[in-house]
Amino acid sequence: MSTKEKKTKVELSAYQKQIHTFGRVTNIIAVAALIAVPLMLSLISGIPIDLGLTVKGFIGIGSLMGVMVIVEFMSYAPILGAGATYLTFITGNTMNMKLPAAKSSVRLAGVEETSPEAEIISTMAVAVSSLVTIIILLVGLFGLNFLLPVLQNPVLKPGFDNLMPALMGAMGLPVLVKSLKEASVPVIIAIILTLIMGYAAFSRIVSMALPAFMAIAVAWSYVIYRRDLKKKEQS
Amino acid sequence: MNTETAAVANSGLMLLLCTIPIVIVTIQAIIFLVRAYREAGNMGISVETRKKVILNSAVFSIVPSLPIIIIMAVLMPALGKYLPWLRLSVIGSAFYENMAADMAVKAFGLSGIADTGLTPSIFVSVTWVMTLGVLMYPLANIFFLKRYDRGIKQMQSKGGFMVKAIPAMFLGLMAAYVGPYIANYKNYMTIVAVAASGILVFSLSAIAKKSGQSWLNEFSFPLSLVGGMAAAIILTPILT
Repeated sequence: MSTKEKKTKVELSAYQKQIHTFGRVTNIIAVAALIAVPLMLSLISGIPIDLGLTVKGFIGIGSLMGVMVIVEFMSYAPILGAGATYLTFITGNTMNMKLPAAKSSVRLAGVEETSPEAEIISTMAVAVSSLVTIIILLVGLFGLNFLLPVLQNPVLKPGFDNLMPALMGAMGLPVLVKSLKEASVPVIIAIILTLIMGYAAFSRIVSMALPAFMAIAVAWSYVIYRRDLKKKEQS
Repeated sequence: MNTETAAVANSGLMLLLCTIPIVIVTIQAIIFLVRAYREAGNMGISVETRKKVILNSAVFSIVPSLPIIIIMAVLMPALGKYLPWLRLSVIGSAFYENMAADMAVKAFGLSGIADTGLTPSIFVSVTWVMTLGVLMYPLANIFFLKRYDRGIKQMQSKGGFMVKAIPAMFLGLMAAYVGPYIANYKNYMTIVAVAASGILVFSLSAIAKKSGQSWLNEFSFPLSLVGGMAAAIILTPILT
């Protein structure tokens, strides 16, 4: 028997298997429906396009998106769990909606962060969040004339300008404070980089720098874990 | 946008084509919600907790959805009503959609999305580029998520530090996002918003525990988000 075969493989539960099947099938259908938009528009309207320039435009956006997809997929999928990831990567708005909805719901439900229960709670939260956005954008589409003056009111502007910091304060601070030791090094590095590079420059690269920050946080947590283990053994 | 392009962009055909993916994604979300809700029951999570989760997520999601309407309104004069609606409803990102639209029209030699030289032909090309450009997200799901998920679970099953690795990843993520806001001394409104919402989250939970008003804890997240934004609204005219 080879060493590979000796390893016990983790079996996915019936629910988890079903989620993967649902997820794959619905994502395939959604991809087909998305491709149908430009395809049918071209076929039915008969409007010719400049293929060279279209490909050029696609390469520009595609290469940027390609890097982003790899980084976001590797970073968010383990945190969200499979069910929530299937939904998040077809509905979007990860950092500003789906991740906070999932994380705050897991905290509210009082379940263990990496447990199967947390995965299910995250899926429920992301599904609800997706539906709310779809409904609000539908209302926005038809009620834009009424909504826009309210949303673009200069009094509210500082509020919307600071939505992300407010969101990160509500989601991030409790997590960072709770694990202050483990969070200390990555937070200090983020602060130092912001001070050296400037806020605007660091903000531009932050989504691409996520894997590095995650690696640093994992490495530092490991150092603390080993140290605590040694302390335990000695006592 | 000239009238010829507007006729294509705001046509019934465009409305129909954009509605289909949005309906599919809506059905997908409902299926996942129902399936997860039932499984949560099987796992012993009470109906009360499940309802709390649904309410928390629904109430919280309203506020971050509002700026997306503003982005939709920014894109509409250039790209018509329905393409921005689709792009922001499906794989939409409040941050990147504006940039993606801008990049797409610039590839055709226009100055930006506000350029009136957007012909029906360029509009159709932009529809191709903006729709296909984001397909890598669901494709990653289709081809890699099952394997990746299994790998993660395999890793966690080993126990020890591996169980702590994913929470540590989340800490790294939060550090990368929160760090810049608290170090942004030049525009300290971000510091105000982070501090106000963070303090509110802690305070509301503490008050809920002491007073027995559990609803405060249930709504602590959306309330803190609004509180952080309100602090910026109130303090901006005073401090800047």
